[in-house]
Amino acid sequence: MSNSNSVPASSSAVWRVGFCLTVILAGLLAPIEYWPFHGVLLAILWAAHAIAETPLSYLARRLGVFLPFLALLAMSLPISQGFRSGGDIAAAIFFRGLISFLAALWLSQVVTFDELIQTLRRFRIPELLLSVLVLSYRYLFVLWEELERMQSARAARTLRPQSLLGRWRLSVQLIGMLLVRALTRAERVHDSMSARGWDGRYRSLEQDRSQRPA
Amino acid sequence: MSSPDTGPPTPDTPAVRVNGLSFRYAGGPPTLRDISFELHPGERVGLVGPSGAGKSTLLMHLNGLLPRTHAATNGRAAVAIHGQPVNRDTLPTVRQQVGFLFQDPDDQLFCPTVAEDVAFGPLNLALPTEEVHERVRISLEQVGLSGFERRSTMRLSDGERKRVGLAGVLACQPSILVLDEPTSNLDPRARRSLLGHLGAFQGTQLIATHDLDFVVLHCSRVLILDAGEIHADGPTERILRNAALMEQHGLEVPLRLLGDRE
Repeated sequence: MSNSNSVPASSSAVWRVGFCLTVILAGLLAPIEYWPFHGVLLAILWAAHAIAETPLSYLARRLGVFLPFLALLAMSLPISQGFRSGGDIAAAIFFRGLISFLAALWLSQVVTFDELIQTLRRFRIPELLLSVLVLSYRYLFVLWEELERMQSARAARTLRPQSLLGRWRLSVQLIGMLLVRALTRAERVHDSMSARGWDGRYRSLEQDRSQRPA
Repeated sequence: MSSPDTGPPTPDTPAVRVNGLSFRYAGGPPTLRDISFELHPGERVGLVGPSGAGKSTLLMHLNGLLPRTHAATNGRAAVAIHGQPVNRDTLPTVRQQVGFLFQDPDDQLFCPTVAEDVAFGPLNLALPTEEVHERVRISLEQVGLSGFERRSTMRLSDGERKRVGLAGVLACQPSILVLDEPTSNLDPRARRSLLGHLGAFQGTQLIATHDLDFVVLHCSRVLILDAGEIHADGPTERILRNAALMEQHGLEVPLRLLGDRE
């Protein structure tokens, strides 16, 4: 999540999150026969990215990873029916997925994670869901660093080029080890929360402020 | 059967009493064997020993983080805090009294901002909002991090994260601090700063560490734990100057004491 200041300062995080959710909902709810409407949404998102000064290379890299998966998912139904039908469903999956992805990418450019959480809290999203989001975001980076350390350790002891099968096998081992470490980490985090009186109910400063009488 | 650990604490009641504590993790060898010791209010004690000696496991029992803590030996609780046995019913009180600083700050700092993380303990104590904010302010001031309230916990140096972790513990206003390797991964300045903050804490402290110079500077008493058993308990200098004892347990006489001897 970046903290770009390139969007107008007057548009608060609430409006940005609201805009993102509205575009996603509109894309999801509009029937695919109204394809010009989906085109308009894509054009609006393109303009939003331009205003937010999202680098084209940033967009291209992420779309390059996401689009093949989306296309494969969209094509699965027509393929299963020998291309006799399912084209409209494939188009719906593709356009709705693309709109949602572009909207989420835009939001990640214009709202920091903290702002997003505070805004979702204002939208009365359940606190449990928010705490899961916060913990996931917090430990994503920790696990990523853990993965990088393991990759470096592996690279330091890889003395000759590996075959594709060898690399695949090592990657599977690495992911397996990461899962084990993630579990151990989860236990330690739970211990540290319990040590400070956690009783299974997540409380936050913001929530505490809003629930107590003035 | 009434336990000798129940009843109101007197001035002679130890801050921590461990009585015949034994523990093993499922499927593993014994980690702690018949551990007994007492810490008196205001005492600063170093817990030293080789890696895998059971230091962290012992510390976790003081906060009731491991289930065997609830066991009793000879009618006494295996662990008692200010005379109060550690069991399921007393856990909230015990955890308020015993502040636990974990070795890896990444285990401890899980909230998005410093203020939220320091406030985590006081919020769990259901304190009024104003008091929570006041405790956050004072705790951050105590560890020299005033103005860090809105900083992200992910964008801090190792030393800062350690100090935020300590602030989170201090915000619960514990009477006992239990610290697991507080100086690991700290540069000399951060280590010195932490030493100063811990020196200002008036309560009882039990510190598991490999940093023996830190123990010499900060603790008046030392326990040597090796293979789950306590092998020595006494004044810091007397224990740490005993080269044969230190070598026997995979330790070395700290440089600071070697310098004094030469």
